[in-house]
Amino acid sequence: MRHPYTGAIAGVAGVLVLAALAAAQGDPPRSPWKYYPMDRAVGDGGPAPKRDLSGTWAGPSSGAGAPRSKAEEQPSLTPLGKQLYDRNKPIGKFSPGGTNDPHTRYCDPFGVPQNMVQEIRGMTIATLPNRTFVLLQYMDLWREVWTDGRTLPTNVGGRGRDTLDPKYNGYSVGRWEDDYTFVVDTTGLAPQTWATKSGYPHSVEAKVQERFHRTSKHDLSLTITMDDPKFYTRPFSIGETHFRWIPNQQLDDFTCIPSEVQQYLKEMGDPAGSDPDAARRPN
Amino acid sequence: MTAKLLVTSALGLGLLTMVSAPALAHHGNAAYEDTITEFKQATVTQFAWANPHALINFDAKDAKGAVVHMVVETAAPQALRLIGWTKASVTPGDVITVRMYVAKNGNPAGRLQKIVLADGSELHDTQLGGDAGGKTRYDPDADTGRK
Repeated sequence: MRHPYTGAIAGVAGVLVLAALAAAQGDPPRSPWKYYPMDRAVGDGGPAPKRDLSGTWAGPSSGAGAPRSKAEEQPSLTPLGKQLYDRNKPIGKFSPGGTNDPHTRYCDPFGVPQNMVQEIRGMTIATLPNRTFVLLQYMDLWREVWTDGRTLPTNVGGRGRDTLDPKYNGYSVGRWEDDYTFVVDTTGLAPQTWATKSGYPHSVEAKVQERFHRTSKHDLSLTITMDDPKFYTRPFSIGETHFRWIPNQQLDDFTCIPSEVQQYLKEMGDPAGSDPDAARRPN
Repeated sequence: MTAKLLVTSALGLGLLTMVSAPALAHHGNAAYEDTITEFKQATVTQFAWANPHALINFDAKDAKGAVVHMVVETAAPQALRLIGWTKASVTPGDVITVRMYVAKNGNPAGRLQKIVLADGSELHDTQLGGDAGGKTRYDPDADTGRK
């Protein structure tokens, strides 16, 4: 005997199959080589693995829905710090045509800590037994954080035969404060770089502390503070940035290209000029 | 000076539309006016899909038929891809509408709010692409409900 609902069930099943086929035909195949910003990690993905930041992460403005960043705080400058700060003409106030920001004009490296805040988008973290590498999408840049128990150098930038040269990304050591918080301390920074986009300076002796905190499988936050008594009366926050896990772990290309920047400035940035009221406004 | 006069002249003759909106300072864009200028029937002459910002060069005519050559910047390709642009979004010869914040110094340059293509579709800037004007940010998530 035929079930009275057999026809209806078969009809509904047929519609579902056709809908699935149509959906499958509407979605082009995904390339494993491409970053798909709309393919976002769903939810928190469960608990964070212990002592593990490894993987590829999407930062602000990556299309991944990372929570909004928290900007730097306004620091308290020493007289020497103020003197250096006043020489800098940040892009926010002076525009590309009037700034003397060495990155905007020439693609010079941001250096730490600015490269962990400014244009921070995609980032991969890779771990070896004695080092952790932070690989930044912007500028195709890598940092080396030693985790073998060594201490930070104290002889960077001096004149002695055994002194170390300052570096754009400085000298970094890292340690796990707890199972989910990795703390990176850095010093020996190249003094010609700006600490922030708004033109705050730093010395070679500045100490930057980054706290990577993984709250779930899909969520990572980074808070940065800088202590530089030469230029600032107290430590201050460089900002807080949030990252989301990228499902296919693939990033795309994003860098500053000097020849393209020179063309941009010639054709656009310099003709557009600077705000005529820039000098009267605070940075 | 010539370029400044061209823009000023075009504005004065009413070919372009000024859209009033509240002023809002934005980093990196202080060189631009706070109101939107609209160029209709603009002919694209070049589209540079390049860093740090993509540039659209275009020609528009003033009321006397004289050609005003303009250049407008938008965001970096990496950021534009996230909101629907591709390197082939516009090509030389395309006739489009350009809405932009022109340079305060009168030079024929500015920052994009959005373009309207011949088929009516729109492509926005990231930083100043909000439809509220006044240098508001474009948030595609707000349009789609996707967060």
